[in-house]
Amino acid sequence: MEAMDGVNPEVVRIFAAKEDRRQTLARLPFPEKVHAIIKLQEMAATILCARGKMVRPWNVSATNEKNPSALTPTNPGRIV
Amino acid sequence: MKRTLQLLNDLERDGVLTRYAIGGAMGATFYTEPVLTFDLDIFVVLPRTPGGLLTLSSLYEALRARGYTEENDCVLIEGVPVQFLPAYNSLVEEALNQAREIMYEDVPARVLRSEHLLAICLQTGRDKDRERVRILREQAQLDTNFLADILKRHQLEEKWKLWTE
Repeated sequence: MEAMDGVNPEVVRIFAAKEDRRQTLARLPFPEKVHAIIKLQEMAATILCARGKMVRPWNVSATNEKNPSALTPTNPGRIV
Repeated sequence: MKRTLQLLNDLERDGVLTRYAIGGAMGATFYTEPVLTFDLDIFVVLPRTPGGLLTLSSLYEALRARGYTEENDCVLIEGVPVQFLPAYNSLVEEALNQAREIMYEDVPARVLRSEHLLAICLQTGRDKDRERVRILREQAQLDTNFLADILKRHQLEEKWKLWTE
């Protein structure tokens, strides 16, 4: 961490703990990070919409209503 | 996001796109702490057109045929706004060719390597790219030799010095 001259030692400790938490978050499995992002989207959407910016959290439980059979358990997709 | 990736795999299998990989903020998130974003950037190599044009129109057509329509610049696929980015230069082409094979739960997918993500940020050069470079440097386990080679071959060494000194 960069030097923080003149900062209260308790604040330095808090900043170090926040940095540790970021490193821990960085090591989470990718799907858990995606879920965290969706939570962030939900939290941010209220504030952003109040500021006039129209955003929409991902609705990953949504299905393709026009083509519901596009993705089925028997057609999981693969990379050739 | 799993069903979004399944659909992308289907498009690749069916030849609508030649190859895809996750990039942008979600790509960076694979290596770093979760970062707020509202779309999923997907870099794609598309089949060659007779005139050699770089166009997403046949991809959009295929998606429409499957019931997925455009919303602004994105296509809403299984609840996720997907921004398709065709491979627009040699760095992005290389990044796609060398993308990491991953499993998202039980679905195979690809994500750009952290070193390529960083190089693309240097090349794009926005303030948010600069911030992403900082986070990747702090949290991703970069292969410094591999990165140095990319920066050299794509003339990004000066930019790297400017942003990191």
